[in-house]
Amino acid sequence: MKTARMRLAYDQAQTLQINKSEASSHHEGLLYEAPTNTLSLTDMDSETDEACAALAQKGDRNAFGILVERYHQKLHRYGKRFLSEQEDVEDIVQDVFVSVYMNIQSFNLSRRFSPWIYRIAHNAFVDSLKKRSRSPFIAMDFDALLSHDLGDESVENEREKKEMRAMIDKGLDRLSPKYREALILYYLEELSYKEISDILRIPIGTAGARIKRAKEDLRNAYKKMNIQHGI
Amino acid sequence: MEYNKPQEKNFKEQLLKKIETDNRKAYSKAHFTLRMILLIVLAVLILLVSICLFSYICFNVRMGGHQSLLGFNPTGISLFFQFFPWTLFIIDAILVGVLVSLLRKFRFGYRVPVLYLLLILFVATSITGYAVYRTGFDEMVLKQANQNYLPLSGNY
Repeated sequence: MKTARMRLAYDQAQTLQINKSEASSHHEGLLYEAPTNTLSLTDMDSETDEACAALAQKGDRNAFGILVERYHQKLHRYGKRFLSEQEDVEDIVQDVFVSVYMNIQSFNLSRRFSPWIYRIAHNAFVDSLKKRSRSPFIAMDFDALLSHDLGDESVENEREKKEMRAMIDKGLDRLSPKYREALILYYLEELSYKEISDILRIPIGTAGARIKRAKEDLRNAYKKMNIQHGI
Repeated sequence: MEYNKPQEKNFKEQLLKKIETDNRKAYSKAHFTLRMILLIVLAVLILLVSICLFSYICFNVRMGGHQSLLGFNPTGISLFFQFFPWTLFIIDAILVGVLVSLLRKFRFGYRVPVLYLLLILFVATSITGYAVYRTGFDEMVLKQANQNYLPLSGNY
């Protein structure tokens, strides 16, 4: 059903045509030529990520530009929190987009674009952490060894989530990167367990368990600091 | 750090310029298809080697007559484990481990907990290896080797 909807969006995108010179006027002399049947930037603004990725796969630089605009802030925010305010986040995010550009043909159009791009960003951020800290947290992932109870995603109400987000904003640097990342993806980037599982390449139950443990660790950190918070 | 529209545009322009000046090219679809095929071929090869190795372990135990030791209660069992080809068994386990790490590149691989995947593959290769041993494959290879012929390499 989802695939059919994406296909429809893509087909609609294909049918809208504009003047080639208008489409390419923004980035003269760049790597690849915009195909003749491409969309205007305003048309593309309303398109799904997957439809834009499909056009980018065909060599449409404007479609790639739209994806950059849509994900730049999100990836910057994700990187800034995951890497605990590391200074070179912007450079890493730029490298992520270069990687996205080079690997765009590997994106499977029947899947969602956001877990795919977050996966690339995750790899880049983990590499950066490894270079800096030599922490063994990535080398051996004990969480993924056994199955875990998949907690109910829908149990928390909006108020609880809001409180959690506020807590995360203040106490994130007290968590280990593994747990920090799980909380960022779930509460701040608002991704589902399934999407987090695809980004981190771990079983869905492990994603749920990691979020649960991260919340407990965060609560303990707050307790140690004697800060009261309603979670 | 909040971005506004001009800043976003600036980042985009810089990025596209970087791609252009560094002469970065997008990999073709064929590149990824080839990589996927290589990965699958490698996984299948490792699987086959692991199956053949387990079959050979069974054959080795039988040819050495070590399995009869199992009928001599604790002393026999202890001797059986002493004579067991542990090196081959460890190599087989390592191959299964490598196979697991390859399969975890696929969605069906990482959605299953590592330990379960490891166990499933180990049991599956062991059962298949035992089934291959039961067909008399190793005996046939031994016979051919006695006639100076080996599979793949031919006459020697």
